[in-house]
Amino acid sequence: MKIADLSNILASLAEENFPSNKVNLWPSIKNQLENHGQHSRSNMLHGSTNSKRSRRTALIFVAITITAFILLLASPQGQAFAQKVIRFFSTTTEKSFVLPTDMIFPVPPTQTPKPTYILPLETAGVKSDPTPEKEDNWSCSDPSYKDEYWCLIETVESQAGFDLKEFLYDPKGTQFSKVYYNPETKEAITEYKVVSGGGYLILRQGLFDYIPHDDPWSKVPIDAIDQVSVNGNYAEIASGTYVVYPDATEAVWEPGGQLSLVWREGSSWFVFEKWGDPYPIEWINKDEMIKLAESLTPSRPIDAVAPVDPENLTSIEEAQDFAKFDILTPTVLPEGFELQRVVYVNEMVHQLYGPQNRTDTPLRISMGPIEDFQAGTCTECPPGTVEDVFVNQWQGWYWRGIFSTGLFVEGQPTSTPEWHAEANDWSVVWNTDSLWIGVNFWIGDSGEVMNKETLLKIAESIH
Amino acid sequence: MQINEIQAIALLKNGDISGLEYLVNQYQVKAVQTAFLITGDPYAAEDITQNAFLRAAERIGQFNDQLPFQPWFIRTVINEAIKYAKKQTRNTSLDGYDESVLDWLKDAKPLPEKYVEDAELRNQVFNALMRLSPDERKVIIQRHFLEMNEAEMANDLNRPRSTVKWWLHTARKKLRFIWNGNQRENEGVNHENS
Repeated sequence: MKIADLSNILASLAEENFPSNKVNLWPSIKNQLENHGQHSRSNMLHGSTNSKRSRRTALIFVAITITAFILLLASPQGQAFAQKVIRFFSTTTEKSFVLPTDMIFPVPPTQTPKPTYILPLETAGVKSDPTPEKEDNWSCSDPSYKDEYWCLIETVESQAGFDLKEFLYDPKGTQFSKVYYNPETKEAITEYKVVSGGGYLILRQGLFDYIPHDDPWSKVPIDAIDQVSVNGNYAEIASGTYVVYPDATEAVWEPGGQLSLVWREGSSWFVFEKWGDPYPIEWINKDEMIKLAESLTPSRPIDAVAPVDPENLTSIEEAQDFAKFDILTPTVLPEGFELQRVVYVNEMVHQLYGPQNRTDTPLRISMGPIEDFQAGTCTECPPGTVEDVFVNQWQGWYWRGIFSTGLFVEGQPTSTPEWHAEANDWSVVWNTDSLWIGVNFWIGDSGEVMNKETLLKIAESIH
Repeated sequence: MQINEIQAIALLKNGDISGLEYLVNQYQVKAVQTAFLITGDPYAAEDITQNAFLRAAERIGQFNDQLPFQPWFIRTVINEAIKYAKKQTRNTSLDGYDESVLDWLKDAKPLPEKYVEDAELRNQVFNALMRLSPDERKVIIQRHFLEMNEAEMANDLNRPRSTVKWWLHTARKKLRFIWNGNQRENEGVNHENS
C-alpha cells in the first residue's frame, strides 16, 4: 500500500460508513436543544473482563513467586544465594592495576604558543532562512534526511535486526550525538553528549547473552557495585572509574562520577553509562540513572516533547519567557560567532556565543536586575589590574586575567590559585538604571584573542 | 433565505439556532466521518459529532468570526474522538475485533471480484488503522483525510513542524508494518485454504 493511496482509502472508508447523502444529524441536535438534554446512544462495549482476569492472574503469580523466594532464603541453599552474586560486571578485589609500559606517557612539555590575532567584529546577524520545507512525501531514502534522528535510528535498527529502545527525549543537559551499530559486538550504541562538553551518556543494547568486558579497565571492584532493579528486572550499577594521574604508573579506582547501569529485559540487554560529571549532568545520580533507564521506550511516542530546560535554552525569546526583565543583546559579535545557548538561573540570564562550527562558547554576556545584585570592581584582583572605563554613559570596570592553579600552564598545577595576568580571560562589568551586565571572553590556545577595545565595542553594542 | 457562514455564526451568537442548522449541514459529514476514522465506532462517531455541535453552540461567543469555522470545530471533534478512543480497550488481535464494525463494512449484495478486493483492502487498512494508538490515528487522519498540511498540523498541535514530521513518519511506519503483517497473515490463510 502506498501512502499516496491512503488518502483515497480513508475517504472511501469514511464514505462507506457515513455516506455524504445520508448523514443528517440536525433533527437529533435540534431535539436536544429543544429538550435541553443530552442523548447518548454510545455503545459502551469493550468491557474489561479480560484485563481484570489478567490482573488477577498476575497478582497470584507474584504472590507465589514471593512465597517461593522467602522459603528459598530460609533454606541453607537460600542463604548462599543471598550473598552478592554479580552477573553483569567482571569484578576484581583490587583498586588499582599497573599500567602496561606502552601506556605510560610523560607529561608533555609546554608547547610553543600559536600566533595570536584579535578577532574582528561583525554585525550580529540574523540566522539565514532555513532550508525551505521539503514536500510532505519525504522518506529516509532521501539523502537530505539521512542525518535526521529518526532516519539514523531506522538505519541502525535495520543493521542490528532489532528495534532500539529510545529515550522519550534527550536527557536534560545532553543532546543526541550519534547512533551506530557495532557488528563485531552485535550491539547498538546511542550517544548523548553534554551540551557544554565534558561528558556523555551512552546507551548500549543488544540481544541474548551479555558478556561483560574483561580487560583491566572494565573490571569493577565488587564493593563498587549495587544490585538494583530496572522495571522490575534485576540490574547492577557501578559507580566509579579507573583514572591515571600525571606521571603515574598505575591506574587507580576513583569512586563516584562515572556510573554504569546494566540489566536484561526479556531477550535484550542494556548498558547505560554516564561518562564525566560536568554540571549539566550532575543531577544524574544512581536513582536518576535508574529512572532514565526505566523511561526507555520502543520508540519516541507521539506526544513526547522535552520539557523546557531553562539552563539550556536556544534563543533569547525562550529566555524572555523566564526573565522578568527585558533581555538586552549585542549588535556586534566576533566574526563568525553566533548565539549557541542561553542559560536562565536565579533571575540571571547568560548568553553564550561561540564560533559557528565549534561547540565552545568563549563569549558570555550575563545580566540581571540591579535590585538583586550590583556589578562592581574586581576586589580580588591584584592592585592596578582593574581599569575604570565607560560603557556608553555608564561607569564600568575592565580587567584581564584570572586566578588559577595553572593546571594548563606548564603542565604543573600550583598548590593555591595564583593570578595569571596574561591569561586569555577578559572581563568588563557595569550597571545601568535597571540591570547589572557583564561581558567575559575566555578562550584556549586556538590563536584568537580579545583586547580591551574590542571587548568594549561589544559591550557598548548591547541594548 | 440563503446565508453564508459568517451570517450563520452571527445568527448563532444572537441565539438563533437556524445559524447552527446551517453549520450542521455544512460540516456534519466531514465531522462524523473524521470521528469515525478515529474511534472506529459509528455510534460513538455520531454522538461525538452531535455533542461537538452542541458544545460549539454553547461556546460560539468565544469564537473569532474572522477565522474559518471548520478548523476550530473539527479540532473539537478530534479531541473528543481521541478521548473516547483512549478510554476504549482495543484488543489488538483480529480475533477480538468488534463485529459491529465489520457489519458496517459488509456489502449486502454480491460484488464483482474487483470490488470485493477493494473492499477487502479497505477492511485491512481499517484494521491496521485501529491498531494504531489514538494519537497516531489522529495525525494520519489530519494529514490524509482532512488534508491538513504540516504547517496547519503544527499550529493545531502546537508543536514544531519537525515534530509533526516525526509523528507522521512513525505513524505511517507503524501503519505500513501492521498492514504488511495483516497481508502476510491473510496470505498464510489463503495458502492453507488453497
